[in-house]
Amino acid sequence: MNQEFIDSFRHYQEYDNWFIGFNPLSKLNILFAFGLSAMFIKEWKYGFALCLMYCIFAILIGKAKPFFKSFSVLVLLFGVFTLILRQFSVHGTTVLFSFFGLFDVTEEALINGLDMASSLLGFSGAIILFFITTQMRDLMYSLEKRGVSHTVSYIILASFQTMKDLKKNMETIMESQKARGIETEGGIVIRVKAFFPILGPLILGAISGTEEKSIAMDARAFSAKCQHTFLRELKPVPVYEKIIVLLVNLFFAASVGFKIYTIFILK
Amino acid sequence: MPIIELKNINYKYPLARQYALQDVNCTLEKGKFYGLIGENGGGKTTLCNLIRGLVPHFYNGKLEGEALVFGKDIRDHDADELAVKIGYVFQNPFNQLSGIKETVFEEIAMGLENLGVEKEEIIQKVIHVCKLLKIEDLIERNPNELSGGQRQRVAFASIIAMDNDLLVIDEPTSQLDPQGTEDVFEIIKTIKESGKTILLVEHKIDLIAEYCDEVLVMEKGHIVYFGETANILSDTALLAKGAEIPQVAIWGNEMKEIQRPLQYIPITVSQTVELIRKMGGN
Repeated sequence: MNQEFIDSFRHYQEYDNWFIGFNPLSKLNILFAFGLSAMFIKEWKYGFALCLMYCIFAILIGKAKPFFKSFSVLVLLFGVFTLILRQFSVHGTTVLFSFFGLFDVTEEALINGLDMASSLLGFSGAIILFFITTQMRDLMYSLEKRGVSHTVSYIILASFQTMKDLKKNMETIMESQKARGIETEGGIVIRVKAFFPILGPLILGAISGTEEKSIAMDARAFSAKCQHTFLRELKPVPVYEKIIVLLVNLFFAASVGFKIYTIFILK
Repeated sequence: MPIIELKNINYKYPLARQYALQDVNCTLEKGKFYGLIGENGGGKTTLCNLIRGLVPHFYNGKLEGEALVFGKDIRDHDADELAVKIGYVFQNPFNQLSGIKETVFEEIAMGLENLGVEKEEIIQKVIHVCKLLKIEDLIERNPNELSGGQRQRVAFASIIAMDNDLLVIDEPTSQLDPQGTEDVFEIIKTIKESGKTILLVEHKIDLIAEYCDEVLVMEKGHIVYFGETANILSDTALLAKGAEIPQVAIWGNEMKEIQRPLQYIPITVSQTVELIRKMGGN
C-alpha cells in the first residue's frame, strides 16, 4: 500500500498553490465580495479592470486554461450579447456610427452596455474562479464544521455524481434502443422522438436507485446521532487569511458606500 | 444466546394484498453461517429486511408476531443502533457506494466517520480490512470508476470495517461475472473464518453447500425447511419447493435409486471425491 497516500490523511490536506490552499469559505467570501462589488459599482472601467485582474490571477495560480475556457464562453454569452442588446433598448443622442444602416450605435447606449456587460462578467468571473480553485468536498467539509447538517452536505455532493450517473444511464438506454432498431441519430425531430421515451425508465431507475442508496447509507450508520469525525481534514484558518478576508470585506463595504454616496448624496 | 429469534411472524408491505412473510419461526445462533434459498418472490429479501430492521423502520407495513434481535424486540430498536450491529450487503454493486468519496480508502472509512471513530483508529481499521480482503491495489482509485466486482468488494470492505456482529448478504453475486463471483466468495470465506454470524441469500447452490452451516428454505413467505446443510441439500424434495440442490446430491440420490446407495449423499465436490476414493478402495 502506498504509505505516502495513507500518511496524507494523518495531516491536514495540503495544496501546492497558496490560494487554492485557502479555506473554501475564505475563498467564497473574497471572490463573492469582488463579484458583488462589480454589480454594485456598475462602471465599465472598474468591471473590466476586475476581469483583467481575474485573468492575471488565474495565470498566477496556474489555472489559466480552465478559467479562460469557461470565461471566454461567458464573454460571448453575457458580454457581447448584452452590449448588442443595449444598443436597441437604450436611446442616446450622440451617434458614434451607424451599423450597416440598420441601427445607430450611440455613446450613451455603448457606455450603458459596457457598464452592464462588465458588471455581469465581473460577477460571473468571480464565480468561475471560485469553482476552479475549490473542490466541492472541501466546501462541504468547511460548512459541516460550521454546523451545516451532514445530510445536506451529502445531498449536495451526491447530486453532482447523480448527474453524471444519469447521463451514463441515458447513454445505456439509448444504446439499447438503438439495438432494438429505434433510430436515435439524425435530424432534430428523430432525436427528440428517441429522447422522450427514455425519460420514463431513466427516472424510474433513478428512483429505485435512490431507495437502494438510502439503505446502503443506512448500513454505513449515516443517521447515527453521535458526532461525526473526518478522515480528511483542512487546516484551521490562519491569521493572515482572516486579515485578507477582512480587508476584502472592508473594500467591498467601501465600494458600496461610495456608490450610495455618488447616487444619493452627490445627485 | 441466539442473535435472532422470530416467533409467529407475519408481515405485509404497505398497500400490498398478500403477506410477504407468513408464520415465520426461526432462531439464528451466534457464530454460524446460514444460507437462505428459495424461489423468486419467496420472501428471502423480506426476511433479510426484517432481520436488518428495515421492516418496520424503513418500509412500515403490517408486522405481527415477535422479532427479537439481540434479545430486544425489533420495534424497540433504534434504527441507528441496528446499523451498527448488523451489516448489510445487497445485489446491486452500483448503488452500494456513497458516490461522494474520491478514493476507495475514504469510501471504506465513511461508516467509521459516521460512528465518530477517531482518525488514527479509522486509518488502522481501513488498512486492516484492505489487507484482509486483498484490495490494497484499489485504495487510491475512484470508487465511481470501478467495475461491478470491484465495487462489490469495496462495499464488503466498507461494512466489515464497521465490525458488525451479524452480516446479512443478499445475493451479492447476481450481477457479477464469474471472476467477480469468485472474488466475493473468497471474501465470504474470509469473513466466515473470522467467526462472524452470517446470513447469505444465494441461488448458487454449490457455494451454499460449500460454506453454510445451516440452510433455510423459503416458499411463498413460509420457511419450509430449516436445518443442517447436509440434511437439507441432499433431499430431492427441495426441488418441488422451487429450490435447487447440488448436482452431486442429485447424482447421490440417483445412485440410491439404482440400488447402489452411497455411504451418504454428498453435497460438495470434495465429499464426492472422498466417496469415490472410498468406493475405489472397495
